[in-house]
Amino acid sequence: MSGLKSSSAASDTELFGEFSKGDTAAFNKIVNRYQGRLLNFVYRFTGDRETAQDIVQETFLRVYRKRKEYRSTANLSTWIFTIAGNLAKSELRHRKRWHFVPISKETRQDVAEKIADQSLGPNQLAEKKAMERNIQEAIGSLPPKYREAVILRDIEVMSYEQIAQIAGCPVGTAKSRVNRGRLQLQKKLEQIIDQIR
Amino acid sequence: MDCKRLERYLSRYLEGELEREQKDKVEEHLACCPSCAGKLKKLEAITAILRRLKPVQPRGDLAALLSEKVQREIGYW
Repeated sequence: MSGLKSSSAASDTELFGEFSKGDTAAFNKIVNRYQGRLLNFVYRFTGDRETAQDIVQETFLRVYRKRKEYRSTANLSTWIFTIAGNLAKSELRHRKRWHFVPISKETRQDVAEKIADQSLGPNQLAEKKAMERNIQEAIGSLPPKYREAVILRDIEVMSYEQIAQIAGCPVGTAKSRVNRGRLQLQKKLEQIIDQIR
Repeated sequence: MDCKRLERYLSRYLEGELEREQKDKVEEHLACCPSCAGKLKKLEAITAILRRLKPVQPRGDLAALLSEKVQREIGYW
């Protein structure tokens, strides 16, 4: 039984402290707190939802296994994102040719999204899907270093200091990667930008 | 400052991260270069597009699944 405050009130440090003493509820709270953001990060990085789901699971297993290595002076979210980022990059290196796999299995969430999209006509819906696909493909075509930096900055809204820690580079390099990544995306998404503006 | 050099500063300018002197130089260039001014607007649009992307939601109860895996793989929980 966890002696913690409600999961939203407990800090990462408090949760991790309880978890490292063997509190399963605290571990579950850490999982519930970070799984959404991690999945989003890894999905945007790999372009494949199933792979992303597997990497997120493996990330938390490693958090469990490496819990003794974690120092409370480090930022928990940065540590977890670093593990996930390394796994995602490793996955990418192991693939001979990276391609985007369409999401084929329909889940409850997919159905919910479909229902939410019903306010759109078939043409608008098709346009929206095509736009989302183009954006994801453009993100996926960035070199991994730029891709990681742009996702962390513009989708996960992290500080440059956190990005630098996760990517294992100086802060100036993180800033430069974000800038270069955005400039490359801008060229790839010229048409979409013109449609939206 | 020329167009090539300015490109390196665009993101930091957009995020208000430049020192006063650099910021002035960027603004001077933007005021006289429609091409770079256009690039800045597009860069702004890119960050807005990325921030509006719909988050992907996890499937199933990951915490429960992980508890099972941890028990199975590590042997205790």
